[in-house]
Amino acid sequence: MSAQSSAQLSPIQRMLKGPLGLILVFAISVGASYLFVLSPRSLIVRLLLLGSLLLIYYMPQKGWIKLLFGGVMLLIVLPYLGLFNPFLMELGFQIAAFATLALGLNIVVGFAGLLDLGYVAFFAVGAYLWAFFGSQQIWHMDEPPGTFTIYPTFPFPAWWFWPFLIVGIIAAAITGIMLGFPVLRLRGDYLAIVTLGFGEVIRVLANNLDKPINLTNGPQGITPIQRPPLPAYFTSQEFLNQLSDIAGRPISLNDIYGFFFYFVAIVVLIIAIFLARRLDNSKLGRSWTAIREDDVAAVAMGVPLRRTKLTAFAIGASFSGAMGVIYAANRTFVSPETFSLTASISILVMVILGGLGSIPGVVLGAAIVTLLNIDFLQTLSLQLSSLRQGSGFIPLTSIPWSSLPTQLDPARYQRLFFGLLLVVMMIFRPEGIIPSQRQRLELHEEPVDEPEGAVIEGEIEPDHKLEN
Amino acid sequence: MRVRRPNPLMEILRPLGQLLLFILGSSVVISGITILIAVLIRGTRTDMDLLQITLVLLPQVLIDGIVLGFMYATIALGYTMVYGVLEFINFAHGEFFMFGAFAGVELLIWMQGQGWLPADQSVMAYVFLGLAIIVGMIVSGTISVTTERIAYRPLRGAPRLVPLISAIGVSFLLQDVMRFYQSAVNGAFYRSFPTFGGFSERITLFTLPLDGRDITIAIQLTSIVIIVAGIVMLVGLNYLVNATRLGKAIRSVAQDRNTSYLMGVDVNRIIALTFLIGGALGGAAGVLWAFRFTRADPYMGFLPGLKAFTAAVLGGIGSIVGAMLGGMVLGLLESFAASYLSIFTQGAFGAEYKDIFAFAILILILIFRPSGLLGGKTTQKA
Amino acid sequence: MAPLLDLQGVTKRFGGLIAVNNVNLAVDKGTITSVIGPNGAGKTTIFNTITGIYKPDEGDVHFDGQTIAGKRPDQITALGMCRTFQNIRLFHNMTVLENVMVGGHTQSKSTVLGAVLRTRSFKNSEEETRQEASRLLRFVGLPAGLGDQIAKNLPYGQQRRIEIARALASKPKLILLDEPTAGMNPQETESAIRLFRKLRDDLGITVVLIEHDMKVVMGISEYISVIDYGQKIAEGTPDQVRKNQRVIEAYLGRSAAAEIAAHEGAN
Repeated sequence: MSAQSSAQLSPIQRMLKGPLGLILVFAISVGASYLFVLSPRSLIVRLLLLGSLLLIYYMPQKGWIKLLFGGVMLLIVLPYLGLFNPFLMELGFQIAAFATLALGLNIVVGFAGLLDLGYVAFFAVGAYLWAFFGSQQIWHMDEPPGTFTIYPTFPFPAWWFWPFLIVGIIAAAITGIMLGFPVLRLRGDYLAIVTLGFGEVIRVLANNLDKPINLTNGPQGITPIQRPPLPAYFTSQEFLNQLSDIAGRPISLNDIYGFFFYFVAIVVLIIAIFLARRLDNSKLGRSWTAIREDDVAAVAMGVPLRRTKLTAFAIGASFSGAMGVIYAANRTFVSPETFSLTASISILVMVILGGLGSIPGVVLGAAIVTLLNIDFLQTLSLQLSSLRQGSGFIPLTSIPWSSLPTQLDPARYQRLFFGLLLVVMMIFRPEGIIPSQRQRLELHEEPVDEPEGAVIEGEIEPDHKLEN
Repeated sequence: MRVRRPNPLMEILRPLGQLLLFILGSSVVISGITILIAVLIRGTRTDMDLLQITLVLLPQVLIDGIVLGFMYATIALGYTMVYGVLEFINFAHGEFFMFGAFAGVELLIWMQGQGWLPADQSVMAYVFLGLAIIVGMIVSGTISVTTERIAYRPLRGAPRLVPLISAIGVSFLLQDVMRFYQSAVNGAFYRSFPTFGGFSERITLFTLPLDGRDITIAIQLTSIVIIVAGIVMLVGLNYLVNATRLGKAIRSVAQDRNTSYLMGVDVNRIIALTFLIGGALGGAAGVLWAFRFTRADPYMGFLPGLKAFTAAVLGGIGSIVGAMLGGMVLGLLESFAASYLSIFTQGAFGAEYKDIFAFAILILILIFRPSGLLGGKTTQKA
Repeated sequence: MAPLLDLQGVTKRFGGLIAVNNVNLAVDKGTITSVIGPNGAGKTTIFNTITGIYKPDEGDVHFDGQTIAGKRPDQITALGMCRTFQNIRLFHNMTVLENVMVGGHTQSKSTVLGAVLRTRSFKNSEEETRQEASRLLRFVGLPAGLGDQIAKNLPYGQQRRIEIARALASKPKLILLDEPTAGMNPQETESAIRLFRKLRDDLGITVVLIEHDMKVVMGISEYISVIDYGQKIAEGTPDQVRKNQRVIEAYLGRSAAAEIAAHEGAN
């Protein structure tokens, strides 16, 4: 970004140039933070706050300045503001968590060009892994759901969360390889349907593996799941009292865990960004691009197709597995509902909205979709239901708000928004909000009519397939 | 392609024969395997005679399977035709199916409101049901063509994943549009199929004397109606594609779009017509589905859609006969899995796993014989 | 000395169609060999079978002392054989330099872990690949500073050269060029011929060409094999092939060939 010449800057970026721009961004960030302290529950202020982060990313300043600004905002200012409204930490956690998932999917779809519609399955693997070992489920394996009591102790102490974070990464990567091994020779659209089927299989298994042995506790899900232990100081009454004084409201242990998971998710996200960037910018990243562009030419240049695709699957899955373990601990509850097709598609929407193959784009996409999901639509629903309580009328009509069916709750129409976003993006801007340079070229490419004989074997005909 | 003048009678008899062959063939094979398993594991259960119970259930399971098979086959035709012409998986086809189901159900509910629907068996009941099917076809066909025009046509020629993602978007969008509409108008997002015409009556076929008891094997009137409707549509489509001028144009576009264009075929019109026909068949299947399972809901299209796609791939995607075979095999397999899985595993794995069955088949087919049961190696343009 | 590349009775069928029928072909080390034949004769199928994109239904392919029939294309490339394509198959949206760097895949020793940790050996290896790629671009005669251009934006002749540079990046012992001068004007063809010679003379690479342009074929080849209807109908030095009756028939049709023969007889 910093290397851009001023000719390529957008109007907003030109406004943010130089020391004056720096001061402007600083002022906006401080202003938004101050507004947040004044009215911690306002959706608009929350948006302003997140918008200031976007401005920091966009301002044409030196890399270290932007890093410093962003770091201070993310690690100091936002947690401080979180004292006034714990929802900010929840929002931050979810955005970071989904951004990590989206980055993982982006490796598969954006870098390697393999459409995976069952990506949430790897998330489920991580989540159920810690749900099983981090709860008392091991002791309930021969009892049907809903029949057992909760004991005071757990088979694995809470600190096992950390080793299981690693185990989750490995387990998800192995699942990715196991799925990828048989299906990766399929052509793109078939692969999409098979991965979708795989996602459904995982969900059906989670729903039904409460018998013959109770592994998942069926649709009721597993709870309680342990959270990792915190240093005694952070959980002491004294520390809680101190924070309560600053916040002007009682701070509970739950709030402390909110901060904790926010930081964990941010750290994991930073690692994920770091990994994605370095991989993209390496021999492996070049191989992914080559396969995406022309797999026949790539394999003829010595790029092993199957192994390169499997690596993408495994690495993408591992991001998801790590977040699964963290998510299970954060919620202390895991059920099959979380791992629906809608969840897979919502992650895909994040990737496509932000920009296939573009790391900043994908993070932005995750932020927008998560905001839409857990903040914007919920707020709208709340507003509607308060209108429904009142005696007003729907504008321009004589229908009273109170006759509006509760089934019209906007929070229930995620699919509508996702669907609309997907179609509109594909038609008008398939490369996303912050496109990666290369994908922009690819997605606007005129089709090349391939002459006969350009068909790679093994893509569809297994009799003389490429055995790699 | 050989130039031949199609014999209209042959074009009706041939698919009829094929259908009969597929039904008999897959019934015999699958029943045989099931009975074999029952004999093999007979000793594992002491509380009941596995073989006996298998045989008792068999006729009903077969009928259910065939009914399901006809519906899958009809939906699968929509996938296979679009794939044949555009090489594109129309992910939203299941939603066209759902819209058809709602259209038919809404019409019948309205007729019931007018007091037109007879409660008992009568000719008028069949007329009204037929009318509902036709309305379902019109609505689904229209939605299908509109979707093609708005969400697919502008993306023709873009990289493969682009129209597919758009189709996924359309699928989600249509689901919630219907949910929104139903919620806003009716306050609930699903609709029940009206009971009329005495369709739920069972006709006794024969009785089996077993263990001193008489087991009655009966077929619901609903099932007969679905089977007859299925036969009419499959044969009709075969006739349309193989014996008419329009069919010839569709086949030529499927063979080579560019050349057809140069030969003066209006490719856009043919593609739109393909969507119309595929969508209409999906709509008819939707009404029949709601008729069979007595309700329509906005998410009803997803699983049947996915399974019908599996059926299309199973039979050899792009092939109309293949879709019929694939649908039949899948319908029977699912019906067998739903009934026998639980009995054979002593309740450890129940009917819930029948959906996984379809996916497992899909994955196996794609890995070992991606050209499908009937597909030759050359049917696939890669 | 055993030939570097040796096809023994290679047959490839597609359904009922026999695209390549029992072809024997031997290429000696350090030679320039051409495979010629009318359109659709099966030349490109032979290339695809050699490079592992197709598996031969019958017969065997030996390369550099080992059998490679049934090996994957990437394994064959790693053994030291690389190719270009008839319809240029560059990675269109990558830069020229990146294209050539992908060609260096088998030569680069960089690992995933090295890429994540940015180890010294990773940086060295990437730098080496980059240097080698620039060197190759100069070698094939592309102007300096072209490396950062997007491949698809370049003119046709340059794309052909990039494809050769990309193939060279895998350090091949043998390079297969599929109609490398198709669509070039006489000057471009002239300079392309010089490049093919340089491949052999300067780099010691054995060259196999598929070519239509008889001027190119006759001017550069030391040995020619003629394919028609999937079968080898003649082979030998350019002079031998030029006089071969079956070759003339295959190219000009039987009646024309008879006419020429009659004409020559009359003289």
